[in-house]
Amino acid sequence: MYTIYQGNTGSGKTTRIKKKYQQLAAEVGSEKILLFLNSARAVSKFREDLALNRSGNLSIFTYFGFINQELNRNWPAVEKKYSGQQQTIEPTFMNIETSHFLMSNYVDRYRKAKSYFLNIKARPVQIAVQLIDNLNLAAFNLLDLEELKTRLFSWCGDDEERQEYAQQSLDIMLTFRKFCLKYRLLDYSAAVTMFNDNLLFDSKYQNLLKNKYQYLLIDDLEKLIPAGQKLAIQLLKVGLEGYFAFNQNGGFNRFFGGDPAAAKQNFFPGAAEIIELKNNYTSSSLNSELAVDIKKVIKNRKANFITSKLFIAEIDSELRGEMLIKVAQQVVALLKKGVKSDQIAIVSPQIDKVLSFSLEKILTKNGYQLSNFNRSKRLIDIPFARALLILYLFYVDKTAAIGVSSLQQGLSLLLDLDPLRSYLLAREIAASGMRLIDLEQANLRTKIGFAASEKYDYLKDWLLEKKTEELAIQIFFQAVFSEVLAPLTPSQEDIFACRQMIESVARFQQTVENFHVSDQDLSERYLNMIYEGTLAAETIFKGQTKEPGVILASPYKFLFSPELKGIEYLFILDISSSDWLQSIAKELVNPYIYTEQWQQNQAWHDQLDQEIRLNQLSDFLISLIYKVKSGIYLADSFFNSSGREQEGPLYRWLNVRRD
Amino acid sequence: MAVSELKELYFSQSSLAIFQSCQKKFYYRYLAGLYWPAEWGMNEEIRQDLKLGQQFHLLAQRYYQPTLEETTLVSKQPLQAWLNRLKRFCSAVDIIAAEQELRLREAEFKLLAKYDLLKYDSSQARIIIYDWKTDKKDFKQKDIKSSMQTRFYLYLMVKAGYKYFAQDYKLETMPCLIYWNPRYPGQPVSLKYDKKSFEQDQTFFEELLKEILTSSEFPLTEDINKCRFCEYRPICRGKRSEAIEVFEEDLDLNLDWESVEEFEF
Repeated sequence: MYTIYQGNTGSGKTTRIKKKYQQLAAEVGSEKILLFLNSARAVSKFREDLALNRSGNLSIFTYFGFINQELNRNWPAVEKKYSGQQQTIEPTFMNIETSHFLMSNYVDRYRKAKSYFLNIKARPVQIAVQLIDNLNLAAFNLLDLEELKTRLFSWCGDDEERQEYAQQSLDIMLTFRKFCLKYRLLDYSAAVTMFNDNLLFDSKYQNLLKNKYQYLLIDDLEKLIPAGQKLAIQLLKVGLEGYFAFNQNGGFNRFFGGDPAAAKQNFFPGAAEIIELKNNYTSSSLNSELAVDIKKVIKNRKANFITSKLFIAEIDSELRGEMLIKVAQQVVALLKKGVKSDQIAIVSPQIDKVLSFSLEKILTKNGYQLSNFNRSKRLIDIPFARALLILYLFYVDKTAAIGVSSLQQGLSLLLDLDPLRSYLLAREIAASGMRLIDLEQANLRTKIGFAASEKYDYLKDWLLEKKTEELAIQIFFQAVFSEVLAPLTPSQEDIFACRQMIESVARFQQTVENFHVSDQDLSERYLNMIYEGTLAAETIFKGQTKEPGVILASPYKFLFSPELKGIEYLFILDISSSDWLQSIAKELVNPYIYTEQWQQNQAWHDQLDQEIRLNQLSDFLISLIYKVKSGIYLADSFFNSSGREQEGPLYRWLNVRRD
Repeated sequence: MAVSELKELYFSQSSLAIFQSCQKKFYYRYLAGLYWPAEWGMNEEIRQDLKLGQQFHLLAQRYYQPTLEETTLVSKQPLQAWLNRLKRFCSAVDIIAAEQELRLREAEFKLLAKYDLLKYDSSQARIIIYDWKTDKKDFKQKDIKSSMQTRFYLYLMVKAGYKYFAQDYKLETMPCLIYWNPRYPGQPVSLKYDKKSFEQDQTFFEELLKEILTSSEFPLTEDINKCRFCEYRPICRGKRSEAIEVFEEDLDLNLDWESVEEFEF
């Protein structure tokens, strides 16, 4: 028996789920309630906000968190079913970094040895991401590898080159999967498959779940992947009582695995009660009317004068730079009127440096802050982390990867040198083949100053001394941090960055111990990953509260940030940018082919591609609109930042320019 | 665990012990979020011991909690021997829960403990708390009776647990806490609790929490000896740590997909 709360964004569905959880937890204890939320951040926020005087274990998970726990607990049974014997006490769970590392190793190897993906220019790590996406999407949609193969080939049609790439993709994916399972290394796709094949339909396991839980609560049911929906169905079948929240306009993660159509089909017919939540706490009827209009206009693909009292103004310029200045000025005007900074959001499909820099500059000048939710700094861009890495590259004599500018910035920090002097030194070091030079011989001692020279000599001697010790990468990182960097009074961000580097390499080594490659190979590949930006600095800022500021985010980031409930004013930027209509298909992966819809048509053509893009755009815009309480500004420029004319169709439908 | 404000923090026995030991360390670890994996700086032998400790806790959890299949440990010594000793020492009857968390939320503060095993003692109508240790030191070398863990575990059980479990169990006498180490199977330490100790602990914890919650500065300890074994020594003292003290809450080294923001749902 289950109840569904149905409503739009801002209608109070999550609040209902929270209230229900607290009521049930107070009655039967928190252990008896299994709650699924859609992101790790939502889980952590829900736990923090809980107002229970006493509670026990909190069974609040993302779907992946849950299967992670269940596989670990029941591993002896899973392994026995899988291979007939127990080989390990527990499996090793790989995160994205380690899966990418392993897959890109295979891509690299097959490319070199067998000339795979001959005309695809993407780097191994970019191809690896697509192959991992294929495996994930198939597993999330409960499809086995045979079905994955069938769908991949049917997507290729008669195109021989694409068929060849599909076969090559399959070769590598199968090798990857075989290796993972042999050494009990579980990435997301293998974990989901292992769970579904060995636990989910086992009657004894279902009994365990039945005895353990009484209630099943799910927020954002429409975003739950089909494998998660299957789990929910099984839990209902064994007798759990359910309370689910469903947003009919919340399908914006459709091609990241969510399947709102299937969710509706699976759960609506059998619901004991469907409670429509008609009130809206973040928006009014104006929002609903505008949402309906937008849906209609985008569907019909016709230019239209959508009018809405929510549209406050249009900011239109020839050049993007001018438009950004006008937007920033308008934001500042609102702030000066007393609107709180976190009640204003600026949303664009592409958060580039020009955009964030321009806005930040003007806001800071006026005493306000910008909170960039899309900040995805590479770890290597943080000065202390860069210095750590540069010293390691000198330590292992792999300095070819270091650029002069990186070295200059590193020296600037390590020797407390101004940019000009550090550049002089970096240039000389680069000229001598990236070897630490003798300052005397290079005649640099007076040029860079005696204090910096002393520090340089100390650093050079320190590195020489360490070379005699043959330290593992994480021990070396620790030594650098302790003995070289810590005395330089690092900021908290610097400390976090170093910590992240040291922790990530330690975890990485822990996971890849089973990869059976030499330590040296690991270190080198790992360093490449840092340089390629695979290792982002973003996770290190977890736990730190964002400073309240004007929100800058892409639509997806905005909608997937649980802390962003509703806002007063929304600025929708770059509406003639074609980035609003990005295709979901890449060279080697197309999320659509793994959906139920593909099963019915099995044909991929431009019209379908366009329809999917439009549906996605419609979902994004409608969900955004429901977050707005007071008004929307639309902003656009004739040319983009590169000076090219913008030709995306959205401006015609919203008709900003009235042309 | 890192929170921006003290009032949001769930205090554990480790966080309280760390505050008492060095306020700066408390600040770095719980407020600034500067948390380092426990195995850092450890030699291979200690790392292996830590891994054994983790695996033993996992096996104990599987033994006491219903799972589908028992773990087979052929040729996995000493884990096999430890698990056999555990089964002999404490059978899987009268189990309330294994790896049980307990949270208490008061107006001013929040407390959290994770118990290895809780059993119900129907003869005395009380809860018995079990805690597994796997380090090489035996209990004689530790001041375990007055440790922060002992006081916190018992206090929180009475304060929150006895009400939380009241629906399912008749609880009339004070809980007891048993420490046991599979390396020293014949030397369990059993600690009783009484009303007077509870009242003393209540005053102690309330005062300690008040001190923490009204702190605005978190000074570095003056005891340099403590710094020798602290992971923050490089930052505070500019020197490498000689070794690092390991806290139980650090032992969960496995990658937890809930702790990383990678995939939605």
